[in-house]
Amino acid sequence: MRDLTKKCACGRPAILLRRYEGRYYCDRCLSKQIEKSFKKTTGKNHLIKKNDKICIALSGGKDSSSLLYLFWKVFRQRRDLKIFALIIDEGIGNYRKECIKEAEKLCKKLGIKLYKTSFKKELGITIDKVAKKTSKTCTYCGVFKRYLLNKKARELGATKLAVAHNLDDEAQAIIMNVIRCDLKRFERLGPIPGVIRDKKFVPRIKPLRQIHEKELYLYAATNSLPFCSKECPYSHDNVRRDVRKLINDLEEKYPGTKIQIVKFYDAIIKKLAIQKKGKLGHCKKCGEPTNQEICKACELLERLKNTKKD
Amino acid sequence: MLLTVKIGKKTEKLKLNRKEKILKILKKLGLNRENVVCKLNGKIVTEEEYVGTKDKLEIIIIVSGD
Repeated sequence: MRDLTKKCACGRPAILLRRYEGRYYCDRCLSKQIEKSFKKTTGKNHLIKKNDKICIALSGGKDSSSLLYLFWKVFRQRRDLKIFALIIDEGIGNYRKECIKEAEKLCKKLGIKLYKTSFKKELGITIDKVAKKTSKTCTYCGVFKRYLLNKKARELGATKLAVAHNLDDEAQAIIMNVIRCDLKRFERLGPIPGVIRDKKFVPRIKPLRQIHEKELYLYAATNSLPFCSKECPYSHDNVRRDVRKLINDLEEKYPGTKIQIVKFYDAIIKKLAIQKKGKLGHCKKCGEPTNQEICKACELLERLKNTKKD
Repeated sequence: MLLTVKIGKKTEKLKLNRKEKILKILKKLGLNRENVVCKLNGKIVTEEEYVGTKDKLEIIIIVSGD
């Protein structure tokens, strides 16, 4: 077999060219860089505090599997921290079932407790059923997932809910909120989105928001993490997909675009001095935290009851 | 000369006149380098590597949105 021409600074074969840096990385050096970025984001933004109970939102995909592995690798010596994982079965054919299997394998390998719940058990609905009534499955799925993650994490005693949003997700969310002119959601982005203090609200943290999606794929693959690489059958034709393509096209032409979008967001949020601290109310129906009278999950569940077909 | 490229589950045959950069092949296929990981003869490589007809190229499309 012939020699590969591109090498990392350490001399090993390169698996990635970071074009915005003009540097090649091998598997080992890339892993070190990712772990460094994870530590930097958690440290700089004070994402982890003493005695935190961290619930990792696991999906079985490359991002959340890497997140779980990073927590295990970086914080496993910290005796004051408690780390566990939570996976939600949305009820999407066999898609999530396969991902759950991979998540179980990873948790077993790392010795981390995995809690499971489902839309069917908690909300009495599946996304397959939602899809029969509406074409906006991603909206429903996202709202229900956030609702359940917060509820279950709280019930499990978590003080933080770690989500695997990467740099690409964060850049996409910023642009999507600009397109929609949604200042409320725009404000809520960042490493600790929506840092509102409420006894029913578990603060979410995003330790991967400075790491490119492609690098996370490489991290999961080169560290032999079990992960599911199937695409959700309902993910076609949503706004995020278009924004993702747009940003990837820009990144290809102008390397560093994603980093700059997120940097610009962080800078503008500071300049605007947007008050993230606010008060939350509680849903009149379910008692979960919301800034409306009825929470979005209850509103959507009600809408589904009254909808025959889109 | 034809190069067999595995893209996700599909397999395509591409015409090659000489060794070509993976990046050029991605462009021919309409793929963005940000969106893919390439395996050359079973090993992950950068898109800057060259392939010939005796090589096995696999292009993995990165799935997003979970």
